[in-house]
Amino acid sequence: MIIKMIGVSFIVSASGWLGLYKASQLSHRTKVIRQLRMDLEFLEKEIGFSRNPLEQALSRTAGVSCEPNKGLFTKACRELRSEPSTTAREAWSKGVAHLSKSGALTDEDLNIISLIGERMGTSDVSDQVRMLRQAGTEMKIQEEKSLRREGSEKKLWSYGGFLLGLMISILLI
Amino acid sequence: MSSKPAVPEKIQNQIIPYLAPKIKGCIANLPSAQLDQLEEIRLRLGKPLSLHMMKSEMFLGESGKLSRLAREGYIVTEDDVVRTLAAVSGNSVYALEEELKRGFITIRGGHRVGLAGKTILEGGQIKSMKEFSGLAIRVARELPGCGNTLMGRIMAERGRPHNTLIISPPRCGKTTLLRDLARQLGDELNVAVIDERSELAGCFRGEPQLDVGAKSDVLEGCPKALGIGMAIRALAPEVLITDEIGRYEDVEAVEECLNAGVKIISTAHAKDMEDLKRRPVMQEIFKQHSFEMVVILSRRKGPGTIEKLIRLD
Repeated sequence: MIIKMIGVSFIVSASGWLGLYKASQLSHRTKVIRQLRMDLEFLEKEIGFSRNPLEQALSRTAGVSCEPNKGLFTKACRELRSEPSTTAREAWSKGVAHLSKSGALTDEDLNIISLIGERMGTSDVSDQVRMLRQAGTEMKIQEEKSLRREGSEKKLWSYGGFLLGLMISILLI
Repeated sequence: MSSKPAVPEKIQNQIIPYLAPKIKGCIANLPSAQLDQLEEIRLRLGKPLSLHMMKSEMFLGESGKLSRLAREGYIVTEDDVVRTLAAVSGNSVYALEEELKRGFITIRGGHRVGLAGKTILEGGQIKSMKEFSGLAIRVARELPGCGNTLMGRIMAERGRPHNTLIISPPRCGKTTLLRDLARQLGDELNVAVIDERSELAGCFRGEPQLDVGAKSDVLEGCPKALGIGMAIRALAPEVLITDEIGRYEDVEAVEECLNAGVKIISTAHAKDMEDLKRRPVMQEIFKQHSFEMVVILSRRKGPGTIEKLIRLD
């Protein structure tokens, strides 16, 4: 009986923890997207207003950002510093690869962020600002989607994990 | 003053690092003697990589072999142009709006990178460039002492020079000579250099990369007519040096300079005096007796050969 009790509590807590983790991931994604939108706005000012060279603009953006987005800007900046003929597209794409390792964002989010690198640093100020604003708008849509998903799925995952654990335990007993 | 690096060393340290890896591979193995002769590197999309040497134009192969035959040259790819542009612009084309309007970027060392591509117009004026198809990297050369002969001949009373106009067809060394005069005069007098095209001082992020004298102030990228007035009011120069006068607004600016008692040394494109006097703007300048001396240059014995020195007073 005691072994059964230990087994049930193990299954319920493991499955419950998994559910809570998934629920926290949902709200984490929203936070990361929101932070990224702010970072892109900062980068837009660095480029559009201060006209700082890209390397400096990325470094300064990394300075005001926080993880995991900070890693995106830091990595891209380091790549640009490593070899003068590295293109902004290559550097940004390595930054995005670094960001994807955090697992905070979906493929859809990462695709939007990757697109920024296509024209980064290669056109005049108005085009760069337009491109960053466009990315910001698309990230805003992603943030709203993420919020909606969070609203509908957070509770499901939070309680669902424990309930699923209980069901499995009942079936096994 | 610390000794200046030799031209091959400057190319190795200041130009080659900016090139796309494949172009770098082609050029890095050129011997110093050939680098010393190098005046310009031309990257044209889909065309062979060409090098303007002092006496000829050559094509550079993938193995680093120079040839007079275009078919033996390495064919420049889009990736080469994109990477070289990324390096020279620091991946920041947006920060180089003024440079793009002028059609060139100045890199560390004062070397100029001319750009070919599609221009973007706004109100009939060039606003920017995009879809870059070619780059012309011109090696900045200083020839300290090339103005020694002329210095001795243009100096007037109280250690100040005559108002002098240096004329020649293109590529005869006017700018190099003018820079050396600025360097020599700028070590003794207060000199204002109005460097509209960033050729005299080769400023990189505001810092002159070429020696224009210890007491020289540089107004970079400033239109001559505006720069002359600004320098007279703000910098109290004894001598004003500027390249290539020839627009109507320059006439008034030169007059302002003379009225302020500031000596002026400048250049103009012309083959000889007759050629010069045919131009309405130059007629105006001569009418007001702005210049006391005209120096005519050629390439007969190499760039900077003084053909004639004419006193106008």
